[in-house]
Amino acid sequence: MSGQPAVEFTGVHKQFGDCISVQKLSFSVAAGSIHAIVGENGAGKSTSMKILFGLYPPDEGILKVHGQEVHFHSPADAMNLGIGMVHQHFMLAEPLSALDNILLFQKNTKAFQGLRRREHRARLQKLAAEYQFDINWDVPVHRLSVGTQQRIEILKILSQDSKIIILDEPTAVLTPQEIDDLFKNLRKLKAEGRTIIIITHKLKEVMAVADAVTVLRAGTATANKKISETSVEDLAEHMVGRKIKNLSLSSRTQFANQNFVMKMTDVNLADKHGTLAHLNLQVRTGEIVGIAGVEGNGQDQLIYALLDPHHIKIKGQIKIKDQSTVKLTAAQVRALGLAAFPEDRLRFGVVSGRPLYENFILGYHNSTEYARLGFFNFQNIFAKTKAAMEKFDVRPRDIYTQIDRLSGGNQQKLVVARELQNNPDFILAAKPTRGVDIGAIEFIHEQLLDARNRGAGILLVSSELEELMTLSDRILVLFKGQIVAEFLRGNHYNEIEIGAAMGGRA
Amino acid sequence: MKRTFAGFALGLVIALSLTSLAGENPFHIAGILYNSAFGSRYDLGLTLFYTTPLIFCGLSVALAFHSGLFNIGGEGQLTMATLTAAAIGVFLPNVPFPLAPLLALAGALAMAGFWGFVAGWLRAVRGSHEVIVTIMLNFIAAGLASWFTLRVIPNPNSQNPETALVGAGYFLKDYDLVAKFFPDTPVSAALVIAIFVAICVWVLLWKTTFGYELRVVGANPDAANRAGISEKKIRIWAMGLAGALAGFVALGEVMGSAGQFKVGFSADYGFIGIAVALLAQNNPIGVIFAAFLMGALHKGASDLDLETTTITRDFSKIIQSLIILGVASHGLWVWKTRTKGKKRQS
Repeated sequence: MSGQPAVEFTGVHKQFGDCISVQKLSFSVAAGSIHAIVGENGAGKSTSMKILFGLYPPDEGILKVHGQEVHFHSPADAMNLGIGMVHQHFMLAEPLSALDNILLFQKNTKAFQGLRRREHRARLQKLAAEYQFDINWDVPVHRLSVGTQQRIEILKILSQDSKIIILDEPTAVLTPQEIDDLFKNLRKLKAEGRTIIIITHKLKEVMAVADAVTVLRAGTATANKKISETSVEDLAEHMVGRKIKNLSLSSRTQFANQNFVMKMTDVNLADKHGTLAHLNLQVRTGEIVGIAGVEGNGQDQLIYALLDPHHIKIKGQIKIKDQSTVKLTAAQVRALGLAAFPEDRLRFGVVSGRPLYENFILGYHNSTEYARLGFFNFQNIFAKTKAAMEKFDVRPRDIYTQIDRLSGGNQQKLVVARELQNNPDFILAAKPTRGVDIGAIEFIHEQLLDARNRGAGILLVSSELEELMTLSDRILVLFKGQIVAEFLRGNHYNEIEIGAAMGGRA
Repeated sequence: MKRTFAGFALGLVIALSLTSLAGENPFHIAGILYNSAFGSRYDLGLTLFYTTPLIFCGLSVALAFHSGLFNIGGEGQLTMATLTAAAIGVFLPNVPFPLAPLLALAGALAMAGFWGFVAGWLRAVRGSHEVIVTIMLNFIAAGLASWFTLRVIPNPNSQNPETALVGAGYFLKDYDLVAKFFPDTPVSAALVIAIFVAICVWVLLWKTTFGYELRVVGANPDAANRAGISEKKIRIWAMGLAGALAGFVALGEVMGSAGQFKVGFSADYGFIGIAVALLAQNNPIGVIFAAFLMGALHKGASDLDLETTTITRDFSKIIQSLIILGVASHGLWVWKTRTKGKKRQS
């Protein structure tokens, strides 16, 4: 096996309709290494890995595994050759227990064959112990934390004794501590001689854990490097194809003002998914307040309390621009001049299958600019959409295109353009750069800073610590529905301290 | 659109080929269908008579569908509407002409709208699925209509289950150019109104803020809520309007031709309306043409009984089903390409 690459792509090409997803892709992954695949959205990361996992056959090119040319017809073929994949969205049957989920995955079980649960359990428990995975085997997996769910996914693969493990964006949902644990395990797996391929867009993590990296842009490899020969800046440049500006934070004014655009006083609420307890939170004009926290610690409840208070029972006071909002409907809150970037763009932000101009007016469609007496003024709508797409560099610049045809970054730019069209005084930016490529992230961050400098108050809810530290004037840490720590921008934030607070160890 | 009609043609061809299993010549059957549907002015008139309610029912299904709801209740809605129009005409026989049909139509639309509203309200407020509710409302409407027809306003001069005739002022006949062009057929000006209503629905859906909100709710209710659009309100309105659209059937039936409500007058218009909307891909203008095709099929099949020994008019149901399958296979095609497109991302 030595010297033989574990995986080798040679001139691989894959096209969907007119859209070339992967072209002339060549790279190899050394056996027994951790190899990172980085690239922006749509660069072909996932597609190339899905080719390797047998989900898509390549149109052209040669794929070799351990030196053997392979032609997979389905993931089953790939699994038989010892390739396992942890998908970004876990493939778990949520109401089933961890044990059942893994048993579901065992190959060579025939229909009506007896399932030796006890034997399997003993075997899996031993395996889990080897990697110090602490798993509750009998609880429905949707009650377990995402970190644990991920460990179950990894165990699934280990139970097959896969030699090549593909992880698609494994750190997206983890706390800094969990990420550390994951990396420890990856290194351990490497030490056992397994080959690990991780797809990610977080370059710092690449530097921290990988041995080698392949950068993809527009479906082809723009760089194949050893980690020792590269840097974050270098990788970013290869990903985007140009230099990336570093947002300067030095020009910040101290916030002496006491003009609050949003004020929450002792807010309590509870819904099916989480709670907020005794929340006090203010956003001043010209200030970006970051909300840090692991997902599921009350962020969604905070967002709902602000955007659609009418539907939830809220104890306490919420004021937006001195107007109490706890009883208002979503439409009434919006009328106060609140703009919101939705935390989940596809679910809350855009209407798929519809053209860009219809998406651009969503939520603003009743304004006198766009409609009179209930009839649309399409001339205005088209003109405004065009102008905004120009200003925000949304591509392709065709207002009649369906929103689905746009990359995540361009979709988000359109959403940002929409929400900023009336120069709002208060912006709720929930995960504003989720699933967005680096170029667009930079742009969206600039827009947020511009809005702040113009005097808007911004509440930034994000799971990306880096983003919070770049943009926020203050960072508040939300843990189990409470604010457990506040960090003011000095010269820089201490990532470790914030991370600890996120994990409840303030 | 092209592929929809390809699906239509495919379904038709397969259905006709089936007739050869019964020893018939498919071309001969096709000829019968064609002649029966379009062979003479009289035949065409009847085809258009069937087309009219199908346009209204197709629009009803299409509108509801744009808001993400499936209106299977067209049958009940049109039954209630027609009964109401007939009842108004029977109870107030002396209202003069221009007012009388307007009054009956208003009553019909209000009743059908209410019938749709009930389903919409239950869906929006109580979460009861509109498919179940509208099906149940169909049965309730049928039961109510039978009772009302036989016990309250039966036709004294007939053994058939039908209401008494409405007052003379309710008939469009003397002013009805469509009816005059197709003498001896029941087709009426309701056809022209159906086309006009279809255009109105198109304008409503694509040119107004209400239509926009309705489509957004249908496409992505979560995004609609975030944008301050009330999903509940829109859904209730959509079902109410859908009911009213189906209620327009009363116009052609009571004011245009029969002048009464007959139990079982509807040849499943409410259900064929679903096929019409499907065929038209919920486009209101497309509904006009799809309704015409379905109307032609319905009329065409009526002569199969007479002209052949082995194929009966029920065969049109087979043709309809195969056409729906043919068109639905188009949907499958779209779905396949879409999911492919989705996998492409990232």
